[in-house]
Amino acid sequence: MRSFSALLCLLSSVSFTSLVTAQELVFYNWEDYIAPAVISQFEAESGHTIKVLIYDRDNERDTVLASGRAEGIDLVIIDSVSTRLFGKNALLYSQQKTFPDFKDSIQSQWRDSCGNYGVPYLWGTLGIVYRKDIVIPAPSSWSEILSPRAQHRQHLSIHLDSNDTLAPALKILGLSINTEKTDDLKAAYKLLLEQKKHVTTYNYIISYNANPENAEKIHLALAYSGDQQVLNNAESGDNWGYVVPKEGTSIWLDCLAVLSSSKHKKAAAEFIAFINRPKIAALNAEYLWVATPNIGAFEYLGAEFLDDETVFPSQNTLDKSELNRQLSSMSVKQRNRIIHQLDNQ
Amino acid sequence: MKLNFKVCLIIVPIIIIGSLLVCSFVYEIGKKSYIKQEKINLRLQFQSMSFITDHYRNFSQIFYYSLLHNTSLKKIFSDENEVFFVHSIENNLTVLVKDLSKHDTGNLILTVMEPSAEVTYYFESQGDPFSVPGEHIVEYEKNMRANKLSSKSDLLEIDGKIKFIKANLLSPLTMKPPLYSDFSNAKSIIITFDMLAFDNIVSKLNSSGYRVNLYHKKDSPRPLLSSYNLSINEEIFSEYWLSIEFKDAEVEKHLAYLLKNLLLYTLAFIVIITFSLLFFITRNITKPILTLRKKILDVNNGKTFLEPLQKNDEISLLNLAYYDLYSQLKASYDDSQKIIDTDYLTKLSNRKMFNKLMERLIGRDTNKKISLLYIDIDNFKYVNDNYGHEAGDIFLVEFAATLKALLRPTDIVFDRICDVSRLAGDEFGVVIYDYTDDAIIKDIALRVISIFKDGFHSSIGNLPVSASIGISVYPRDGDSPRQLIINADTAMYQAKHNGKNQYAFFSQELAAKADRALRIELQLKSIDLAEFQLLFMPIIDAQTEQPVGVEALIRWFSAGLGQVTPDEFIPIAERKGYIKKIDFWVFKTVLTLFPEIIEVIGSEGKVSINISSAQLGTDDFVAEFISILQSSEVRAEQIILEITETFSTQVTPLVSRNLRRLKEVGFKLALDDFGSGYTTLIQLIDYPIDIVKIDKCMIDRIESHDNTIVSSLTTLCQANGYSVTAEGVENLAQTKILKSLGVNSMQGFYYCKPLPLAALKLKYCTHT
Repeated sequence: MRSFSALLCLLSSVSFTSLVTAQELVFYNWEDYIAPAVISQFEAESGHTIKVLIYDRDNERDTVLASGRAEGIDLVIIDSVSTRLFGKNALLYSQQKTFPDFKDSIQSQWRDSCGNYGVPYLWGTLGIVYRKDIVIPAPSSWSEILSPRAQHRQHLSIHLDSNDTLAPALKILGLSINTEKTDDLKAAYKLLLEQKKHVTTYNYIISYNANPENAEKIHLALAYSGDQQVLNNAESGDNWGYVVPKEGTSIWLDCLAVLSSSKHKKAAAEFIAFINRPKIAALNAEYLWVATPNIGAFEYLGAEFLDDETVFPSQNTLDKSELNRQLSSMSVKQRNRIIHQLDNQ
Repeated sequence: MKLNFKVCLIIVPIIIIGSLLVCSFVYEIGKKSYIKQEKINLRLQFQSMSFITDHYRNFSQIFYYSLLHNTSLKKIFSDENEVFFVHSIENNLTVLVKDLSKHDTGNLILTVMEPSAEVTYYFESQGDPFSVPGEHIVEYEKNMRANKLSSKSDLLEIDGKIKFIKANLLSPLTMKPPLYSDFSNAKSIIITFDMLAFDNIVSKLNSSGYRVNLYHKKDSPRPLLSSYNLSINEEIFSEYWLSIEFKDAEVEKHLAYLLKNLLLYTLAFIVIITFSLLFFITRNITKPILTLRKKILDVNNGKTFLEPLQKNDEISLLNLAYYDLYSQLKASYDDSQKIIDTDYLTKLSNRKMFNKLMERLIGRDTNKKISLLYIDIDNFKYVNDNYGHEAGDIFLVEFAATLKALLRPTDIVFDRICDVSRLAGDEFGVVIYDYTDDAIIKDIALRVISIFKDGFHSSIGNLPVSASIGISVYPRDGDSPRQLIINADTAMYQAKHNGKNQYAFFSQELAAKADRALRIELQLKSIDLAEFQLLFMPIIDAQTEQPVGVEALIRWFSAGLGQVTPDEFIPIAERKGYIKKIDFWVFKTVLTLFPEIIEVIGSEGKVSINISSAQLGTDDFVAEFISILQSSEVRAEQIILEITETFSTQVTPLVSRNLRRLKEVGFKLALDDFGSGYTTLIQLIDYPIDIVKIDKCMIDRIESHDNTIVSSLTTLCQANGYSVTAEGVENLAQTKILKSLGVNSMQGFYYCKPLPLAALKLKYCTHT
């Protein structure tokens, strides 16, 4: 409680200062990965403005952050593995130095995942989004997107990520998503080359469908939990569903981090504190239909949300799933080359 | 066609030879310009390849410098946290490599190697993501290190493809080329890529007949094989020779193609020119000539007339020449035709033309009537004899003119010249065509006859001539001009027979008569005198009623014609000139039989024979007659020559002279059939005759009518010293009257009909 009041003190002082000097925060984020209400409420309360900069690939984000071209960016949503790597390389601001510790408000299993360089934001699974009205019955296996049924060929979207693109192939082969064995990767690459014949786009489904021309093209897509919500919101409908295939999947955690190059670190800290308020966290999670690691938020979450297995997978699914691990540089290079080759040809 | 063939024979070889010469000339030019073009092309290819190579070299430089100034590379060299490098930085580098590799490069490979030859970074833009750096890259880096070279670029030929390789050794701390002593610590950056544009050109050249060789200067030079000097071998990329050759086979192929095309065009040219020429010649020369020929043939066949062409070309001139020639010939022909067709004297058409026109009319094959008037001038001979032939000609000319004037154009449908023709000396023909009524023909005939009403009034006076007209009508009286003329002629004789200056239509009876006459004529022509026979009719003295003479009468029992009476055949014989022969036969026969005759009539008796009066117009007859007599035993005084009173016995001076001559010799002369003809009493007196024989027609009258004429005639004759004989006495009453009238002698059936000599002898010799 003490720390919480300290946080409040800090926040109020920050608010005060910010009222004096309103600032613009550049937030580097996935598309539609924050509830608009959160931003507007924060802007209203703090006087700062939030400018959202979008990426649709992990690799792209990493390249931007590592290239030294990311100086204008203040806040970033970044996966837990990258957070630690970037943090160690001093690209992210260590929160221990200035920011209050949110560890108490975060569920124990996620508490250390972002290290000192970020606050856990949302967690979820890798799975398949599909058109409920077209793909009947609903997909239940990764084979549905690795070798789709005839009617769904050329209606498939797979996005490129050195971990997640390979995950379905590795899972269906019964291999670990974190494998470093060349033979395992070769086997997976072979499946991905097969899959490539049926792929309409290697763009992320949400970015791809943002273009109205592509609206009806995709039946099945590799995606993350919560993406069905984004798609449905964008279409103002309920055509999209999400499943975690029976073979298991990878589980991810996104962290909210401040860049060490940021010139608005205080305002960024204000935003982090704001978004970790239980009510705001709940609002954001429910809006995005993605699980929050914020303990306090559960109090505000609806039963439908809490009972949804797409948000909170069953224990059985979780048992078959894995968390992404830091891989050896050799393996990362290899995976990168695989991804590039898929993109190339 | 012959001309065309000649043209082919002469001009076509010239065209062929000329075209082939031009063809070979063009081929040589084509060949030269082709080789020149290929040389330029070769140079362009070389330059473009040289340019491309330079471009790739520049690209490799730019690429290298962009890497060098990229933070990512710096990090590769310096950062010890490899995981971070791979995870984030490598992507950055990869994007850079990928972006740059789009410049016409294939499979761009970036390799970063540690001094230990460990590969710290390997990127291959294409291909298997599990591949490792190729042998050539490792080898190349090793060589550089060994030779202490910090920067080098080369063209490597790997598996038939030209790869660009550029390697740089850098000190990891300074990012500068290492010092000589620092080579052991230097890291290397090796860039290789396929020179796609270069390869494309090489493969394009190779597949289009070029031979491309790229080789290092230190290698042995490749021989140039082109025999057309189509090769280039020059330095490229400082240390290399690039040789490009155009293969001989390609050149030859192209030249063969060129030659083939040229020959084809030449052939086409020859064919086109030849056919154009033939067409031109046919159209402008041969065909007009043939057309002209056909025209001339047509003119010859009377189908058309040649007309002068108004153009000025040779054909038209030829045509004109033909036209002139033809016109002259035609004029001459027309003139001669006119002469042939026209009677020279009267300018009427002649008999030939007349026949032609008749044929033409008949040939029209219409149902229109055609009439032919055959006009014969009576007594024309008289005009000739008495007024001379000039007068005769004048008469003919004037008569022709009168006749033409008389026949109004409306009467005939012919051309004027053809309506009236002179058929023979004094014979004229008139054709009347397409008339409605026979009355018209009669009218025309009467008009002609009326010309001679009081003789013919000519410029030389009134001539005692008349015309006899025979008329035949087509088709009734014959269907050929010949037949129509014959029949009109027949009708004309009939008219003449009927008494001159008359006309007669041809009829079937006339035809039969004419036919018989014709047959008689034919028989006479081949006369067999054995068929003739003499009968004798006694002449009885009126006082003694004893025969004082006999008249020898000729009888003809023809095998073909049966009995032919003298009335029938004598006129024909006279007309056709057989009479002399007959008369001589009669005379000779009488002379031969004379001794037997004497037995009947006594030594003082006389034998009468009939002499054709026509004979009296000729001198030789009389002479021959006298000589026949003198060769016999008979005295002239025992022969009475009876002269028949016919038209022809006009007492001309010649006739008179001949009669006197006969009389001088001693012949008695008798005028036969007096009273039936035209002899006037004055003429009777003029005759140097001894006896007058009164015709039966007069004797027949004495019973029923009065005897005055015979009585007066007898008195007149006897007063002039003529003895009178009555002919045709048939009964007793007549004999009594005649006796009372004092005739000297009589003959007739009452006394005796004509009998053969034997019968006569039998009759009278038993009497006595």
